[in-house]
Amino acid sequence: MKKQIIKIGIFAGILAVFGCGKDNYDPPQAQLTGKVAYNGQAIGVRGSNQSVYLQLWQDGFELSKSFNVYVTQDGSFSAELFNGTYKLVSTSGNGPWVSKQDTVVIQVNGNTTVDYPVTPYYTVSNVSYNLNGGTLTASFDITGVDESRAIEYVTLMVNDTKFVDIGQHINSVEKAGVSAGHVELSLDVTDNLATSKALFTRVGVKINGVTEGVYDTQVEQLK
Amino acid sequence: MRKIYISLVCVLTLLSSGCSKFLERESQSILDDDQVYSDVNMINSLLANFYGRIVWGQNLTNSGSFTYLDEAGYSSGGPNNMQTYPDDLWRVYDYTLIRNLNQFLIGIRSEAAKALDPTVRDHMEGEARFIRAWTYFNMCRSLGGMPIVGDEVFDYDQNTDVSGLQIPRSTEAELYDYVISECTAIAAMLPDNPQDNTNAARANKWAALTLKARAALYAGSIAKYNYKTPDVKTAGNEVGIPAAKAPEYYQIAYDAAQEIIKGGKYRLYNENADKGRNFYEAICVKGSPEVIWAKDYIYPGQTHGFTNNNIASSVRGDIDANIMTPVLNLVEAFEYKDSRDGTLKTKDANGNYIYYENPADLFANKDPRLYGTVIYSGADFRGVTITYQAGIKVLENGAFKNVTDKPGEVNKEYDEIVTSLDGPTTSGDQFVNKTGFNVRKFIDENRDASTRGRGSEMWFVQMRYAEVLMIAAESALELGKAQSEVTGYVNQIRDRAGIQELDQVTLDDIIQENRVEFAFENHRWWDLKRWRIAHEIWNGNASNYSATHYALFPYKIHAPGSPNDGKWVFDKQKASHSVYPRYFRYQNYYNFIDQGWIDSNPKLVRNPYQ
Repeated sequence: MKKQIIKIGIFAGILAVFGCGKDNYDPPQAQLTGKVAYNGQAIGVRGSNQSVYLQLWQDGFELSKSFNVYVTQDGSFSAELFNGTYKLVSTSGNGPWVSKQDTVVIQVNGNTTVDYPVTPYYTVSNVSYNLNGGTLTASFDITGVDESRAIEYVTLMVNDTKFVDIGQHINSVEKAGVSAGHVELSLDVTDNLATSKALFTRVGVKINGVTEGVYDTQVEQLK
Repeated sequence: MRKIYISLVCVLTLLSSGCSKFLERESQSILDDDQVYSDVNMINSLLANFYGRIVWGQNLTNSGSFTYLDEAGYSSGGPNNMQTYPDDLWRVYDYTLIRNLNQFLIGIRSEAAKALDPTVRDHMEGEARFIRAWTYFNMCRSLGGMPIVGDEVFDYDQNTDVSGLQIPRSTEAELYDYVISECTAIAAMLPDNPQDNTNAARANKWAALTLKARAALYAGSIAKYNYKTPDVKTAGNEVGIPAAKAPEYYQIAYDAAQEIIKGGKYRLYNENADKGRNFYEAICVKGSPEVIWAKDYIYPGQTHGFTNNNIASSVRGDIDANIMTPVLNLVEAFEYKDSRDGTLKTKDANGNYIYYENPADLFANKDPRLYGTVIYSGADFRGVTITYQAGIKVLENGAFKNVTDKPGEVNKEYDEIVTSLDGPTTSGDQFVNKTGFNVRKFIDENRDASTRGRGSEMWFVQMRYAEVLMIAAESALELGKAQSEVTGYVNQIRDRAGIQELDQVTLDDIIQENRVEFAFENHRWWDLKRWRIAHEIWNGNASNYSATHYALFPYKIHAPGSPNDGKWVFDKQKASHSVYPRYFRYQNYYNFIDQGWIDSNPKLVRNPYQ
C-alpha cells in the first residue's frame, strides 16, 4: 500500500514538473504598430470610448472572427500578434474618412510597423493654442480633401483629463457654418482653471452625416 | 431430479410473469405529439411557454434597461460608465422560438387536434402565429430584414445539404409585409371579446390589429425618413425602405387603427377625477379597459423585482431601493397644464433662486401624467409623502453654503435631518437616490411586493388603446388628412391626461406626446430610431441637454431671521451617476449581425457600419 502511494506520488510529481509546456502556447510576441494616415500624416480622432477602430482578420481557418484594433487620439494603433499574414480593414462609417474599406495585407514577423491609408474629408493643421488670462484662443487651418460632406461645426474643447473630444469635455465652444480655411475660436476657461486640477484642450471638426470628427493629433495641456 | 424440477418451475415462473412489457411501458414524463395536441390544457401550457419567451427590450425584469435612454439613470452604488450603446443592444434573433412555433402549428393542424372545438383550435393557431409575427417584428426593428422561414420546420441529419437551410435575408420591407399579412390573417381567427381575456395576457384580434398598425407605422416612417441617414442602408435593402412605399404603409396603419377604434371594445380609462391618480390606474391597475395586451405576472411563481428594485427609500419593504431613478430631463418633458414648455422654474430671469413654501409647489400645474409616472418631491406614495432633500443651504457672508449629511441622519450641528432618507446624494452608497425622483409607473402599491422574497405581480403593458390613437394621429398626419382629425385623436389623450388641447399638431408634437405618454413602456428607443432622429437627440455631446442626464437637488434654506428661512430652492445639476452623455451612433440604428451567424449561414449580409 505504502509503495503504491509513493509510486502515485512520484508519478504526480513527474506530471507536475513536465505536464505544463505541452499544451500551452507562448503569448503573442510580435507587436504591430502604425497609424491611420493621409499622405503620411496621422489623422487625429476621438480616442476615448473605443470609437474608432480597424479590424484585423486572418484567413485560413474554418470559422472567422475579426478583432478590433482601436485608434487612439493621435491616430496611432497597436496590437500584440502572432507572426503570420493578416488583413487590416476599416469598416464603413467608422472614422472621419471616406468609406472605402480597403484591405491592407500585413506580414507580421516580429515587430512590424504599418500605416493604414485613409482619405479624410478634412485635415487640421497649423494648430496653435494661446491662453491669455482666462481666455483660450485656438487658431488652425482646415484643408478640404473630399468636400462631399460639409463641416457640421468646428469646436474648441477643454477637459480635465487627457481625453478631449466631442463626448468628453467639460467646456466647449462650437461654431457652425464654417468652410475650409483659417479658423479662430476662443473660449472663456476662467472657471475651469479655478476648479480643475489639470486642464487639457484640443480642437475638432465635426463632419456632417458621420459620427466621428477630425481632431488635432496633439492635446495641449493648459494646467 | 427434484432440484431440476424446482429449477424448471422457477424458470417457468419467470418466463410467464417476467415479461410485463417492461420496455414498452408508456412514459409518465415524456408525452408524444398526439397526446399533447389532443388535450386543451397541454396546448395551453405550450402556449404559456411561448408567451414567457417574448419579452424583449426594456422590461420589468431588468431595471437597468430603463437607464439607457433619457428616462432614468442608475442610482444605486457607483457611477455608471456606459459611453456608447452596445452593438447588440436588445437584439432579437430567435429562430429556436420560430422553429418551436412552427412545430406547434404542425401539431395544432394535425389529426390529433381534430377532436378539439374548431373555434378553440383557430384561437390557438392564431395565438401561435401572433407570437411568431411579434418575434419577427422584434427581429425586424432591431436587425432589419431577416430570413423568413414561413411554416417550415427544418430537419438535419448528416446527409442534409446545408445550403438548403441557409436562407438569405429578406428586405426590411418584405419582413414588415410578412408581419402585416400574418396579422391580417390571424385577426379573423382570434377571439374579439376583451372580457374573456384575463388581464389581457393573451393575444386577441385587437392585439393582432395593433401589431399590424404598429408594424405598418414603423415601415412607413422608415420609408419616409431614412433619407436623413443615407448611409444607414444596405445595397440589397435588407436595411432601408424606398421612400415611395411610405404612403402605402401609412394607409395600412391608418386603416388598422380605424378598425380598432370603430370596434369600440377599448377606451381610455377615465374613472378617477384625480387626473394624476387616474393615469396611474389606467396603466397599473389590472383590468384597465385601455390595455390590449400585457405581459402578466402572478404570485406565487411568476413575479418580478421591479418594485423591490426601484421603490423610494422611505416606503421600501426590503433593503433594495432606487436601482434606477428618473432623470430631470423626463420630468421637464412633461408640459404644464397651460404651457407647452415644461421647464421647471427654479430661478428667475436674473438667475436668483425662486423660493417655494412647499417642495410640491415647484410641480404645481404640471401635466398630471407626471404624477402618474414619476414620484417627485412632495408627492405621496401609498399615503406617505415623499420628500427629497439633498441638504440645507446656510447663508454665510451673503453666500449660500450647502450642508449635507448621511441620508436620514440628524446633523449634530443643526440638530435636524439635513439630507432626507430619500436623498438625493452624489455618494456611491447603495440603494440611495441620486436624481431626486422615483419612478411610479409599474411600481406596485402592495407593500409586500417590494420584498425580495415575494416580488411584484405588476403587469407590463405592451399595447394599449392610447397607442392606437397615437398611431391613428401620426398616420393621419403623414397622409395629409385634415388637422381637425389629427388633433381629434391627440386631444382625446391630452383631455384624459388633464392638459390643454392643441389646435395644430405637427410630427414634433407627436414625438413629444409619445415621450411622456409612453415613458417606461419600451417605445421611445424604437420611436426615435424609426424617425431617424436618435442620432440628433443623443448626439454624445456633453454640453447637449437632451443627451445628458440631469438631476434635481432640493435644498431647504437655513437662514434664521430671514423671510426665506425654511423655504425650498432647487438646483439642477448633471446627474452624478450617468457619467457620459447618451451617444447614439449611426451604427446603432441596426444591431450588428453576429459573425457566428455568418459562419453558419454565409448568405447573411452584414448591416451598415459593420
